[in-house]
Amino acid sequence: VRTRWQGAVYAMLLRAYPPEFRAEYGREMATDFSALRAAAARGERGAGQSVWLRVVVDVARSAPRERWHAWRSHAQREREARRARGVPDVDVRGAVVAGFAVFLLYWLTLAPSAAFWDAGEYITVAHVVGIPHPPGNPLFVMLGRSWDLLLEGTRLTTAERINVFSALCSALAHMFLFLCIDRAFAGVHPRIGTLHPRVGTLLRRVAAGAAVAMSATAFTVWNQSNVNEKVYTVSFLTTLATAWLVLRWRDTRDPRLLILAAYMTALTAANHLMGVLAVPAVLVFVWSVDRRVFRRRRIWAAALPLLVLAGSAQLFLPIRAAERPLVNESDPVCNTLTGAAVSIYTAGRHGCDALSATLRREQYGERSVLHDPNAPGTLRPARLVTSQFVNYAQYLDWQWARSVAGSAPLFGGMRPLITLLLLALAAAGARAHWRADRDAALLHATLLATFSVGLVLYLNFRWGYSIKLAEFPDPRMHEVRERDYFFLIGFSLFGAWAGLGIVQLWRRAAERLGGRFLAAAPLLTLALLPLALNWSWASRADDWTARDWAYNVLMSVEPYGVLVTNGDNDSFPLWYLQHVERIREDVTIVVSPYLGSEWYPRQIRDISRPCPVGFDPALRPTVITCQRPFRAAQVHPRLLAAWGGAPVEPPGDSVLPLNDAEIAQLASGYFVADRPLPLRVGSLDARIATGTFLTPVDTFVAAIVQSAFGHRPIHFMTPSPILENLGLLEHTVRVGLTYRLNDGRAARELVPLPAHVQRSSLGAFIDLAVTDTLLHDVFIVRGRVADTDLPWVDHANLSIIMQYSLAHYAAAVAHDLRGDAAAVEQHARRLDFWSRFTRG
Amino acid sequence: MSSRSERDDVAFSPQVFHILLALADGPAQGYAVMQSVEQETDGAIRLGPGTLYGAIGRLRSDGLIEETRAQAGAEQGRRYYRLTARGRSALRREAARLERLVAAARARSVLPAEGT
Repeated sequence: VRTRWQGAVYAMLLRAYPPEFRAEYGREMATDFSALRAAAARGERGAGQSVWLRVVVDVARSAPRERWHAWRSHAQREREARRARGVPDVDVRGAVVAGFAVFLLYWLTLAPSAAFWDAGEYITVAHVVGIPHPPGNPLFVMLGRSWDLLLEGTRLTTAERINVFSALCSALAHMFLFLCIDRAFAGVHPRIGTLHPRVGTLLRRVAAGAAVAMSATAFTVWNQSNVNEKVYTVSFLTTLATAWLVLRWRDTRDPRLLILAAYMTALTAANHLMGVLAVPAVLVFVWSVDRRVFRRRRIWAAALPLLVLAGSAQLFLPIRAAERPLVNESDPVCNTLTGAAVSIYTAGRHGCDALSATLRREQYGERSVLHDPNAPGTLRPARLVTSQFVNYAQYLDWQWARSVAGSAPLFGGMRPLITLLLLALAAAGARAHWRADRDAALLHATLLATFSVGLVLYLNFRWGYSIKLAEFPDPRMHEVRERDYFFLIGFSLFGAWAGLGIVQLWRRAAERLGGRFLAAAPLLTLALLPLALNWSWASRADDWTARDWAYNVLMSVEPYGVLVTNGDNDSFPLWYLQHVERIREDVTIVVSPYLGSEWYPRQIRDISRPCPVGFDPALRPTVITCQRPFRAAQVHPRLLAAWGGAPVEPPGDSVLPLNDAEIAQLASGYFVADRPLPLRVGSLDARIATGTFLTPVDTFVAAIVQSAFGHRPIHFMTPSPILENLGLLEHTVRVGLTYRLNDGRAARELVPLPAHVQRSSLGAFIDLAVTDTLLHDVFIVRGRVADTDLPWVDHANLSIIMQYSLAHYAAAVAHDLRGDAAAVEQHARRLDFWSRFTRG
Repeated sequence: MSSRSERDDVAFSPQVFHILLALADGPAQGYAVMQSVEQETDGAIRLGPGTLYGAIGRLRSDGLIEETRAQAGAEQGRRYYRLTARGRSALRREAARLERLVAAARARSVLPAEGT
């Protein structure tokens, strides 16, 4: 029995070898193994007890080698078979070189840290294995964390690693783009009679290279690839990889390529649905090449289990949510595996409520493609649809010459002329693509249509951020920022066609010059135009603005303070600083819009509750445990002195000491104050005005003020509409970039600011000693933002930059009241420096 | 990929050299080759089946050894391998190369002179 058992185990080990090797030598190997065991049993010299060790080591060493040899010879046979069928080879080396060149460009212009918007969030969740905003992007988090760990031994910071991840995804996408274009032009022979065949190959390579150059340097593609602001570079990669797989399937008719494409498309859904938008183009392509494939049951039978497997990546959400990571947006928990599976495979229509809500992006509300996003219930007006396409054209106009009249967001200066030129080249490129390979051109065109026209219709934006501002002055009727990043993939495909158009131009010119390709080669430099005209706007090199701003904000908050923020853009860089760089973890950040939920107040309660005696929250750095300690070593000594020293003990209670039922009750409360409502606690005596519409956000903030006032400094990001709603503006003290509620604890003198200055912008008082220390000694301002020659790329972020101006302005006013002209002059100079962005 | 015949001047790995050496006396099956190599090297090289048959496969495709019919009295059901003319010639060249190396080492007193 023992002999049989050992033979069976060795037979299993033999499975490590490639099938053809097993077929040839498997029997001999098994016989030799038996002989070795028999020798060991007889006690022969050298056999001994080591037979198993010997064969296991042997398998571990030789099986990978045999697999490698088998793969090499298989690839060689396939190449030969393809040649025999007349299927051209593709230039894999050229694709790798192109991908490397693109990576190098993104590396040179890489953001050194977090940027504004979602960059801080995505870097944070990749580091702490958290859950970002719905739909939760589990694939991104798993890939990001793996990448973070993989590069842990390098000198790169976590932020750089995740930004490199974005650059790598885009570079790989361009590698596949090169292959797609190279393959499409493989069958094309130049019409010039005396041309050497090698020139035909050269034309293919140049066409693919120009397509990659024009795609990679398109403004949005570039600007989104040198920082990980979104998860769309992963979608970009899977889209181009899928395109390449189906093109290769056409050549080889190997159904495994289609199955892999289907698996990848299903998997990319766990990153973002953007990648799934490749499906219509793939279906059209496969249909046009060989529609019989759809009727092959064996392909479906092989693909379906893989699709189910790919969907299982979403299980990450409930599994990790149960561990309560530091970032756990929407808390997509689910108590049973069955419930989670139902949620996932019904796309959130059934199953667990919390998980389904995340998968359906419920917190953003329903956005019907048929209705006006500014007036739900009314049909989408034609003029809005027109404006949405104008908005798209505006972003298209940014792609190849962003620096030309850059400060004019809408068709500024000569830029539209350059755009028109490139559109004409793209049309010529599309024509050449069609002539070279109709299937490939159809695939490209369908992808482009989906990622441009299709997206415009599907996304159904409000009025663009910089469109029709005079007609619709209410900012709530507009998108909160420019949304060009949604069209990244479409702009890449546009760029590729423009690149092909440039090569067509070169070819025509060479024909006219009697086949002198070299003489016409200067025309190819057109493909470098966007590189030159976009660099200053697309580069994020040395851009520390968001990271340093986050540092400056957190240093404005006193130890164990609460900081109420206004939304994503002023919160995510703070998360990054706290959870990745581990700076000022003692500050409880309250992202006010999330207070409208039940899950977020619970997290705020738990993250600020006192730690059990002897428990160190640093032992569990990625999950919510309890109040993290203030570390005086992170704070400038002058600031510590201005504060009057560091606290000895953390506060004795949570900032929101409510139970789950009380939180649920507050989360559902919307009401209008029918009389003046007092908000009294300690020295604070505020009044909510009659008629104020109060949301759960206001109510939770009021509850935080009630429980924490006097025990913790309560700060607000400026300006904060909540302060006005709760009648707290007259109690605000400007401290650096924040307001603190005046709790009378500071022994320092507070300077009242004149009543005529706007309370919401400057505050009622200023803590001049601390603010001066912050502005002069503590704040970090370096890199790109300090370079007066570089443009400010994202207009929507200017309100954040303006806070520096307001802090200096408030300090200047206070010094002026005190008659300190030198100090006024000092602040005025800085005010002038910061105002340069808004003046334009 | 260049074949063995194209790189006859390249030194064999010790394992391959000993496999060829084990077949120099005549045809042998895999297990016998393993035993022969182990004895020849005094246990310094102990081939496992995977390593042995991987090397045999490559030597066959390079034309240095070939499969042969079992000899009289041989173990039934086993596959036997023998050196080809090219394999014998390559083995001879390699042995000569090693001999020259040893002679050079002796000339520089790295090894003691023969017979001492």
